[in-house]
Amino acid sequence: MTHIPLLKVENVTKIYESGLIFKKKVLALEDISFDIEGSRAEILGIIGESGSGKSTLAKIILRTIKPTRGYIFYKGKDISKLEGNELKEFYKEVNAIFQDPYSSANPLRKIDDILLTPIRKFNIAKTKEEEEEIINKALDMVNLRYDEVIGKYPHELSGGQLQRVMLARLFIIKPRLVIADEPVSMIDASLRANILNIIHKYKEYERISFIYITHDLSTAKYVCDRMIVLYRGSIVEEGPADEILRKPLHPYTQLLMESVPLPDPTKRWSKPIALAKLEETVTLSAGCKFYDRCPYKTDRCKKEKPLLRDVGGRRVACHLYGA
Amino acid sequence: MRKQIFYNLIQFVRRLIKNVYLILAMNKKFRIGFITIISIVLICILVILMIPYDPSTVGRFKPNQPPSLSHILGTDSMGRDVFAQLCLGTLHSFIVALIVATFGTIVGAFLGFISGYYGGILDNYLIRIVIDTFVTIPMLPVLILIASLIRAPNIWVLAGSLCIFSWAWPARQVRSQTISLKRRDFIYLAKLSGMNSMEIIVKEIMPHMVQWMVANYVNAVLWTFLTEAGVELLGLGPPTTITLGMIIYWAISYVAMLRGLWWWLFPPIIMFIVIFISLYLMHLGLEEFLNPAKRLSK
Amino acid sequence: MTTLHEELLKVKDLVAGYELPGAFIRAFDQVSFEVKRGEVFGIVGESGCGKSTLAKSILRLLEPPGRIIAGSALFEDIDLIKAPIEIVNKYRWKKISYIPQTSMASLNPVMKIKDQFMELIKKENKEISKDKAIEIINEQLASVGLPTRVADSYPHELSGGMKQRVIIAMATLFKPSLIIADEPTTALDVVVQRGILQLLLHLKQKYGTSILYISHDIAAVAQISDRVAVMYAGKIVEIGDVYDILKKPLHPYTEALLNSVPSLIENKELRGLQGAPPDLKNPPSGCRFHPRCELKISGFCDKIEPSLTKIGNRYVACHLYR
Repeated sequence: MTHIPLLKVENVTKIYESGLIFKKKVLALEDISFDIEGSRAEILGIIGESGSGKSTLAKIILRTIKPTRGYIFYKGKDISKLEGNELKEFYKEVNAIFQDPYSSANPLRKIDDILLTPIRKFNIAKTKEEEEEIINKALDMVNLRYDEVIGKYPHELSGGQLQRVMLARLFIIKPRLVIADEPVSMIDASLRANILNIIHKYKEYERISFIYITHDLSTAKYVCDRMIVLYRGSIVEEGPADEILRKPLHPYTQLLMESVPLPDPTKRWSKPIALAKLEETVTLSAGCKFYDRCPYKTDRCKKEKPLLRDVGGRRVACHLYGA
Repeated sequence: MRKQIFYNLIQFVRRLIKNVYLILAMNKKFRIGFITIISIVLICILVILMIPYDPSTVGRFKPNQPPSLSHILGTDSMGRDVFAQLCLGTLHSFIVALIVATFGTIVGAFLGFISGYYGGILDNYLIRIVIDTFVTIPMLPVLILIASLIRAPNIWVLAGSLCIFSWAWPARQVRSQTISLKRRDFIYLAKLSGMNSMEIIVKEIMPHMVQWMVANYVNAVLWTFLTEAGVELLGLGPPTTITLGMIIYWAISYVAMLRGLWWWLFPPIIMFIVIFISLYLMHLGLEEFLNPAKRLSK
Repeated sequence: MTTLHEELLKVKDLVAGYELPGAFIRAFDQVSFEVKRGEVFGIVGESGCGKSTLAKSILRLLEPPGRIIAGSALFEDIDLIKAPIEIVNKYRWKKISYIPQTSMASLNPVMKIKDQFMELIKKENKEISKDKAIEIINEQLASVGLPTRVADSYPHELSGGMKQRVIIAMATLFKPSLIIADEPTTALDVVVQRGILQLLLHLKQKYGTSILYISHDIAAVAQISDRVAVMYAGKIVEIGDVYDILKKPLHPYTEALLNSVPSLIENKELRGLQGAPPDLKNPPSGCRFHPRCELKISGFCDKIEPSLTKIGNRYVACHLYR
């Protein structure tokens, strides 16, 4: 029996145009394709730096912006064509958690609303007692006490507490898929573990899948099953997270891995990175986008854009691995 | 749905009152300005209620009398008691200011919000161009035009003309504030929690509107005061109504200064300055109060 | 290696905070440490620990309602805290440079990079010839790996990493003996962060510049610091050699910070801290960390505040070590 993936991203491309007379085109995403399976919950990491297009991808999946080309299918249906009740269902099943917890909460309304609104709008509870029960259970799930958050305004909570309220909200909604856009990058390091552990718990026990978007490889490793590495709008490597991190194939992934600082003063960066290599100076019309900064570049890389190919259980877009 | 909107309007007003209460308690500048204005208005009302005649009637008293026991601020060249005129004029100016400010704030907030929230063609081509045009139209020539077209300008014509221009600035403010609010994640999360557009506007955005409208209101009052006086000083004001600006206008027309009638010219100017400073203090106090830094002290 | 004044910056019992309606909140309290010549001294702590306020205080850059209320910061032969502000201002850029947290925003958006450099150069030497000035500018840009075309650009034409390097180039124009860098790599990619941090190390190695490096990222601090101080809720809880402290942390908070960094290699379980950073309006009694400490001794840690005690080569403020 053919199973339909939960989410299918097919050849999504996004081009931003700016300027009235002299139009400038920016290629934010180029030909992105991947699936999220339906049969089991998984956490897919999308690793990218700023300018990689990862936020654009999140917005396209959440229907905030439209792709220039390509499609997104949720449970087989084109999401751009959803409306009315089907659209409401979509928002119940595909939800999100964002980077800045303080921007995610209305500063003029109490925390209670964040949790009550989905219960009421999605008809999750039938009585007031049930409402209370659900809220209590959700707060318990994220290790927050009732009196710690209820009746308070967002600015009275710390970033870590507020983000956990956002997770409690997700527990109430129980979506199939959550787009998590840098959920811990604005949280203090010592409070991140709680949030990451909760995300992991949701996947294991509540069967909620996540698309975990980040620039931080270390937190990605902790929660992700699979990973996609984005570089300037294109996928350069995709595969099981553990394997990619154990043995990164694409030179960009290798560069990322090497540049993550380790909290161990005996394990410092050995080779200095050439400062000129920090920025891409030339935008090639043809050829590999990483050409400028790649230590293994060849003439072929300059002229021919590498395609995503299957290499031993994962996909890599690099001429080093392929005919 | 109607019940929802009604309920939310009540919440709106309650929140408004609570905010005013808060700022009075917390902010010294606002307190001083507010109390000064209220005192002035109350005194003027009291005085007018006690006077049995119409202060604008010409020739009632002996003209050009310096301040004395029977006329605290003397009389002007048309035989009118200056103090009575001052009180009535202040009240009239205030009424005009309140009407124009209310109109401008409500209409401006409404248009600014629609333009900012829905964006698109409506915003870009229709409303934004209209707003920007009105903000940049030189007011004075247009007012002069209106004044010259209408044979007998009265206070309502003046108020009406000011209304035409009063909404543009609030609309611009509210529009840019709506746009920046729209981008915040919590608006999007409201949608992801099942709220529809109307509910989002009413429940998530309206509470912010209160703050914007209060800030804009004080500005609008200030602006109206200034503009009204400016128009009247140029001689375009209603000749038969007494307002602060008109008192000054008449005093200048009758060359009060050179004739030594200081009690006619200075009191209205001083009153004007005091009102202006009080309103400005309220404005500053509001700015301080609405600054996000205030959250720190909570 | 001993030099004439081994201690370049000596901060002693510094206290500063913010004046709020009704109360004065101390952002940090009784902070003391030294930065030696030619060393990178790291200060690591999370939000609310007071490290940014500390950085600003040293160079008297704290704006009202912020205020320094006690302590000293001896640098060369003056006390930066007590000296007249005109003298401290003279030291800025020339002897001590400051790279603020939002340094990318401190570039003037309507001036070309070279003109911003010119302003600094002219302040020191009014008569300098244009050619000589351009030479110096290009030299500085090259020292941070930037091409000369950057001089003719406007800030918005440069990427975040490039702007940061411009700031560093400006900060090292007069070869200061101390650079205070407050989270210099915020919002920068991990590869660019590495480049910037290595650049700072290079400055230390080539010119003997001391660096006071402030960050919330303990891994970044581990990479470039020689000595380190850990701050929590406005106090220094552990201070010493980076190898000692990070290989064998003594204070429970330091250990928690280290345990919060997910490993790229092993599959260890991440354990965070419970609770939240304390409200400095009403800091916890006794040891400020006790509400979140798993090793606390009831009746003791919540009553008496531990002072920094010397244990081997370092100082720790914890009742577990007395």
